[in-house]
Amino acid sequence: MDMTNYLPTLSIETSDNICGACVYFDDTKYFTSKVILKHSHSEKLFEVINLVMKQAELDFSEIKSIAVSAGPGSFTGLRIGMAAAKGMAQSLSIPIITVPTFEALALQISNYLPENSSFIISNKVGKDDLYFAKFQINSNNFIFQTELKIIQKADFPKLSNNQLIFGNVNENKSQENLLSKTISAPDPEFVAKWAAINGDGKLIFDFDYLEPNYLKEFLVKEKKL
Amino acid sequence: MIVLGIESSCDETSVAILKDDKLTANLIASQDFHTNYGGVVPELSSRAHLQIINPLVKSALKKSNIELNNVDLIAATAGPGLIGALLVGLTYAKGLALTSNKSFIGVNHIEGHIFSGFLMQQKPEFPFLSLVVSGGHTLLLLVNNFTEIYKLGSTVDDAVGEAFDKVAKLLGLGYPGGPKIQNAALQGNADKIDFPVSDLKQKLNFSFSGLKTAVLRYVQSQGGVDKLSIQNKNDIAASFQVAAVKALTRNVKRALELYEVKTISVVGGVAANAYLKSEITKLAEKYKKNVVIPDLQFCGDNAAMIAFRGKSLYENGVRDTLSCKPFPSLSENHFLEI
Ligand SMILES: Nc1ncnc2c1ncn2[C@@H]1O[C@H](COP(=O)(O)OP(=O)(O)OP(=O)(O)O)[C@@H](O)[C@H]1O
Ligand SMILES: [Mg+2]
Repeated sequence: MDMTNYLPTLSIETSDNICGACVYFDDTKYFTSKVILKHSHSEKLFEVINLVMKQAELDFSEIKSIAVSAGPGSFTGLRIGMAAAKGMAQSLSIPIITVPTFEALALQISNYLPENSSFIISNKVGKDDLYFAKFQINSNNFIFQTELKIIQKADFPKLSNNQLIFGNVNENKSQENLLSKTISAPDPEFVAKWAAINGDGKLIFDFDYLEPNYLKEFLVKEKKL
Repeated sequence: MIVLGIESSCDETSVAILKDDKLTANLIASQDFHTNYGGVVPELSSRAHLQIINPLVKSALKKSNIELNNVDLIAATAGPGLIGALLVGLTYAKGLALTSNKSFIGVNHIEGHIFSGFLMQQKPEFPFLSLVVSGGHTLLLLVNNFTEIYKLGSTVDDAVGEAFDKVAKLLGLGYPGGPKIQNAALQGNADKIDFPVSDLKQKLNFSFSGLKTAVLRYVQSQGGVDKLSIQNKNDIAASFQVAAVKALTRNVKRALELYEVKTISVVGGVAANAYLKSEITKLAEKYKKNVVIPDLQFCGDNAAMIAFRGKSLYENGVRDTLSCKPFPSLSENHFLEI
């Protein structure tokens, strides 16, 4: 399955505070739009999609795949993206590509950093834990130095000492490192780009029971009867 | 006209297809696993909706022998309900509607219940009196037509379904409480305990928290639930059921004295209650009114009623954009004041 047959792709990003979409042909031709606004992804998403479709002057029948930012991230946000992706892919009879959110963000960040530099992306999960991954720039792309995982907040200083840090873990924190950014989700064109680069063999035609990458198991707290 | 309906407001994922007046599919996937937790766990509910929604839509289309292309309108529940759960069905439906270029309507779940009687062979006739009795709502409404709905009364505290659920929990009968109470009541003596039926200043309003508290007090007076014999529990269930149903039928009777209607329609999950059905039927006979109480599959949450409500709005010129928002609860002034 050659990914070039599945472009243009329509990408969707709703994993955190960005609600965005991109019609992506290749690195030189894409149409992207986003709004930064929490708690209204379901209302805004389709406006954003309509906008990029109009800019691209495309009909939905010309879209060949849906690339959805699949997590980790806000559970509700991820479900909005995945539900929209399923509805669209079902109606258009096209496949879905689930794009690892942190990798799309790493791809975006790698545009701005010199070869061999390393960086951390860390987003909040709950009160006490964080999503955490460490990357290194390697010929205009990135490799993992530490696989994506959930860590305890208390362990973060030790793990991130002297590192360049991205993600909403930076929120409300005095910035020691000027380069560090609170950017916590990829722009939609990087979700699409990740799919264009890595889509071969990852196209999902049977997405009936497909779920986002919640990463964190959901534990039901004891409810009092 | 073909309508695809989608419902995901709580713990049922449902997809229905309405071809003109014929219901060709009404598939309901119930999330039984919540029983392990004694109530609906919203996060798990949302996850399950997202897993099952697409297969359900495919089966519904297949069962109806149509393709998405043949559909004219996509109607999905927008609220009230659990936001996370609503978002799944609503956003999925928008995705379908956008890419297949279909009309879209976000349906009010309670309005879905109100008109669910139209899915029956014998339909309500306007104007009708609607008693909505579900897990989250207790409403008495005067329905003049598909767009003119007056609120006559509503609960000032618990919903009647909630009262059934809470009392069942209190008696250790399990969840969901309605059917458990009904079953226990079958073996019980309803004259055993005289539970109060509270009367409010607003004569058409309801209150169930006093009744619930009375049951709690009674259980405590007997030394707690562990001291109750099965027969005790059955008697409490039966006495409670009589009081709860009396509270409902009394207000229906008052409304019948005040307003001229052709039909009485009882809808929502509690409309499945056999004793309520028989009491309402008696009342209707006395007042010479038709009664429409939907079949079980249309009483609980289902997409057939969402599809039907979508259709009736569509035929009245309503269309929604894809910016339509989910909402958790019914606003105080949603219905017209009489
Ligand atoms: N046989 C019965 N007798 C009494 N109550 C019943 C019976 N069967 C179901 N119920 C009650 O119906 C309620 C569920 O109804 P329904 O599914 O319509 O409510 P809901 O969808 O949870 O709430 P809402 O529609 O207000 O958002 C529960 O409270 C349940 O206990
Ligand atoms: Mg309901």
